[in-house]
Amino acid sequence: MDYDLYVVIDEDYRPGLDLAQLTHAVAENGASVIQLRCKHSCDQRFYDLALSLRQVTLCYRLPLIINDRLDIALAVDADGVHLGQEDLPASVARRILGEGKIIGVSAATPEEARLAAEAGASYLGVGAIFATGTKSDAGDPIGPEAISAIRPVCSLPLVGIGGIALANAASVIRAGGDGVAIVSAIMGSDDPASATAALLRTVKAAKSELLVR
Amino acid sequence: MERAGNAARHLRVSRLLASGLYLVTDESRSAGRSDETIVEGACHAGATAVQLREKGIPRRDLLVVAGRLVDTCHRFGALLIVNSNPDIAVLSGADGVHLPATDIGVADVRKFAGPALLVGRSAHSVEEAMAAENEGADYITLGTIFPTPSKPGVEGAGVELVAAVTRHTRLPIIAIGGISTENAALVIRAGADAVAVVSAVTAAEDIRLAIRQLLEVIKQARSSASTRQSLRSSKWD
Repeated sequence: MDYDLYVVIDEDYRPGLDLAQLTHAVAENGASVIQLRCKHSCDQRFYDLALSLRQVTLCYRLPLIINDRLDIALAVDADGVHLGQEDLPASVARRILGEGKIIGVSAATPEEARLAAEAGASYLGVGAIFATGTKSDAGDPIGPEAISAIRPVCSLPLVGIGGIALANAASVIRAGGDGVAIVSAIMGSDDPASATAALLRTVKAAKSELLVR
Repeated sequence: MERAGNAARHLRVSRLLASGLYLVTDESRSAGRSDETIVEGACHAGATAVQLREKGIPRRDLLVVAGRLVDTCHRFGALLIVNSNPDIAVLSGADGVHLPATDIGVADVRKFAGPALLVGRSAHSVEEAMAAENEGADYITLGTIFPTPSKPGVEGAGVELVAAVTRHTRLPIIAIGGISTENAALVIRAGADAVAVVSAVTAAEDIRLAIRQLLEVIKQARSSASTRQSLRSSKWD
């Protein structure tokens, strides 16, 4: 599976935005994975959104990851869940999700990465790499060097997250990241379709540079 | 398999309603005591159904609390229901999940929770109660019956709401909102199968005494309640 451009659709980011339409736009322009994050609205809203994004991701054959809620992921038959350090442990989540589902885990240090891998994570979200306004509990930025520190001890795909935009996306790949997770640089853009395409080009270019080297 | 699961669930419903008392936790109104302390005391005094309702704690911690309360309740033969969070209900080994009116649907929960998990739904009107019955809920909590500090600004609907709902659904009704020893009998006589209590127990100085007094009031009210009431509950026997 490819994690090049992991797009986080955050329900709280811009209230009133048509998220299904946004998902169409990013899917059409090369997003590799879609995650739905819905921290503050009611569960029914989260479920309804998950269902509508599911229709879109199925059309484009993109994996849909649900943040935190296993029940919603199972209810809409999403491809997986993403679990933060305060969410359910991956080992426990695996018990009701089964082997087929993707489980992403947030990790900031080699130790957290090691534990997540042991617990059965499918990939790691490493962050916050750069300062971000979209996640109040993200902590101080840890920089791309956090990925360089985890890379030698962990064979799971590493996706950098937190404040990643066009200008700094390549540094995450160069540090050993398999992809970048994006919230603001797409959701906050006036033209999410072009922003997605440009980010994907940047990630691909950084990856091919590494291959040539 | 499916049929055995359904039978297990129906048995759970009758156990859920057996004592007529359904305790809902709220650590913020437990005078500094943990949910575990409250639940242990309550089960010891005869509580048979407990709902874990803690908002604003990380879900990882909620799973741990749920697992502990399942152990405590099961030790006393009581049932533990988890508020919202159906995934945590399943993973902790709880007997059921209670879905707020704005949560995901009952059918969606059954998709992954299996047939034995009780699924309750909050209702605040005849319409919501009927909707819960239609989507296959096992029981409803019906409120707010009397004004309560946990729902500031909400006027109580009174026991008339209970009576109205009994005329439109056969779902077991657990009345909630401002219920105490003072008014529990009114609610039971209006047709509720059980009463839910929060601060009447969690804030009580003597948890066990509070439970015993409530159980006694419910028992007396049940024995004087109409025959229609016993007909209602007979389908779960």
